[in-house]
Amino acid sequence: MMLLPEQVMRLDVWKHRFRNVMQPSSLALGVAFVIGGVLLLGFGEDPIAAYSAMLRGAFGSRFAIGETLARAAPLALVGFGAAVALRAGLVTLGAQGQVMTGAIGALLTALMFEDAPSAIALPAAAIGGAVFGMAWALLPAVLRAYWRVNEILSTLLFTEFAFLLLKYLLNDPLKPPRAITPQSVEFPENASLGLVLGGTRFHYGILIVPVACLGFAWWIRSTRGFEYDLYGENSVLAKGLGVSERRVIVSSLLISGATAGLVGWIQVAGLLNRVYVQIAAEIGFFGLVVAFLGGARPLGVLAAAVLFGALQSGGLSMQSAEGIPASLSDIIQAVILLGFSVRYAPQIASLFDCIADRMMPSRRTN
Amino acid sequence: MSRLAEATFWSATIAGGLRLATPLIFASIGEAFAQRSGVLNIGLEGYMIVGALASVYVADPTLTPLGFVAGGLAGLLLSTLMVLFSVRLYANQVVVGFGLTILGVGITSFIFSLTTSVGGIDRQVPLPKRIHLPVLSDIPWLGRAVFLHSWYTWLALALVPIAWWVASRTIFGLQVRAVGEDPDAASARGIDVIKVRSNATLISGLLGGLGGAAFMLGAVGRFQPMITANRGFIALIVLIMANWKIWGAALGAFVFGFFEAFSINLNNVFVDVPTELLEAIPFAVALAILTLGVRRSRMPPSLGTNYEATR
Repeated sequence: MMLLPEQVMRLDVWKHRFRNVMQPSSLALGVAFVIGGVLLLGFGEDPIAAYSAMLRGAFGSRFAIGETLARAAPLALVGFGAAVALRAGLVTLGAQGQVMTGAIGALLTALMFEDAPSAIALPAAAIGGAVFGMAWALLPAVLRAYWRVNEILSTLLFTEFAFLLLKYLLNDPLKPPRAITPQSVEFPENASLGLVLGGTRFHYGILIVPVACLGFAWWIRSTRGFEYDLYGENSVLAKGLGVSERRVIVSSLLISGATAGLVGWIQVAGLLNRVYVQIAAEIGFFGLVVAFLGGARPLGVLAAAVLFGALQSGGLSMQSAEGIPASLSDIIQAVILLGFSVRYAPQIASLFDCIADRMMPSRRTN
Repeated sequence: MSRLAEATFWSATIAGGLRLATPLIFASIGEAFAQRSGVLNIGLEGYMIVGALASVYVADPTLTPLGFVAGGLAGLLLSTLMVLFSVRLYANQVVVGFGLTILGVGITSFIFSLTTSVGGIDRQVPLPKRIHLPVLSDIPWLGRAVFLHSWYTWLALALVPIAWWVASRTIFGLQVRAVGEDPDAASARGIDVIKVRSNATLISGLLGGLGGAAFMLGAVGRFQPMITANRGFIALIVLIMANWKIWGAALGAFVFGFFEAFSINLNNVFVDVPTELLEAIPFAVALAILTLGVRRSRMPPSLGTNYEATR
């Protein structure tokens, strides 16, 4: 088959991109597992047993795959939202709190539509989640846009506020009469998301991820998305070209708030069926990490989310099978992030070229 | 309500504020060195928690001064990674900082779960006695409020003038500020930018670790996974509230600690008000100070950007 010149070029771009991502990430992954293995040996545990339990827990069965997807989906959604902000040069730590308020919003909306048909109650709950997530991003966004208050710190404080609000609601107003531990009443049946695969936790909410991924891919190719990228790269130039700074800041933070709110919704409507104090776990934090790792690009974020989802569900099942603490996956994730962070470091890049040249003498780098 | 008019309420709140501020003073002063040199060191939370774990394991149960030192060394050790990745290899400072936070939290939880029996009743250290100063501690109200503390708090308070002196009166302090202001100009004047930034980052690792140790040995006495509960991030907020000044950082830490103690003590006064509302007070104060202070704040110009040494 003959390829047209543009097609060859496109192919080269993809090959280049693939190489740029695969080399450092496979190296980082390898180093992370070796470091984890050394740690395990140091504490007298068997790394082979640990890692095989982890692998089985992540991909070994229908249930395991469902579990991995159920953990990857919230990371990916938060990651897409955080990536929109990252591309505009904003680092938001608010997702953690926005997941909490999103879950509260979804629950409150669903309770309002308790007698409505599913076709109304279900989307209403989703919108409720997104709106509450967005609302929690509004003040930090406005403070950043109009007063230049650092968004990392204000979103962090808002996460504290969200946590306190959640604790209050689950200890009193939303708590079912005879519950002992803090939790909410049950999520109404008519607004719940069903399971795609019976016997797993693969629920319909997870199907939002590919839709969001496409939406994000469309976004970065749209004119508006381009303006935001430009602002993130060079705010002075962007302002000079007439891009409104305030609009970029407010709307990109609101978008990330809305996606985090949607995560709160799918967690309560698809997975947990009640709101708990720990509903956000560390989703907000790791979602941001996933956005960093994926280079704030759609497929990158998706791949990073699946990797982290697999590590987390694998880690938990390793804990119950082998008695090795699941925090091993945190260590591995941290090392992956550190390893990946140096991907653009000049010394490392030239090291890769050296290795590649030695392995493939005929290869030409351009 | 009448309890608010009692003098003991306020002396207890001030004393509690100083106790809660102690770890924040260590951590935010350390961070001041790193940030003044241009290194945005978000991994503070990681330094604090490894410091907390190391201190309680080494102190176990009576060698507390040794535990304190061990906490500092653990923080220092973790900050070498910040030096390696961000200062030497030019990796993004925010990304590496998050990585170190996850690493610190992960590795301490890992070690703790593997070395502790279920329930975690071991690894406890007795909390320190408050030092009774001859005359000062006996002053009627002031003595209880200001002059009756454990040696961790005294150490933190002693650190403030020393750190200020180092930052503003020594060659090293001058170099730190020069490098943070304009690394190119500093380099042209013969300052080794990478070296100065490395040392400033290591100082923040050491003091962050000491902060975690002071929190553990001086206030909590017992390790649990994630026990530092975002105190590292609060120290970051304190530093920015303080406009990157050493004295300001100590003051900001006290303000935060004071309102934290205030909200805890108010809980006993207003029994009907939800605890969570009172718990929000210190964070609301921090947000207000951040917002109001932003107009006169001036951050180190090169903060967050890596300096690439040319060879």
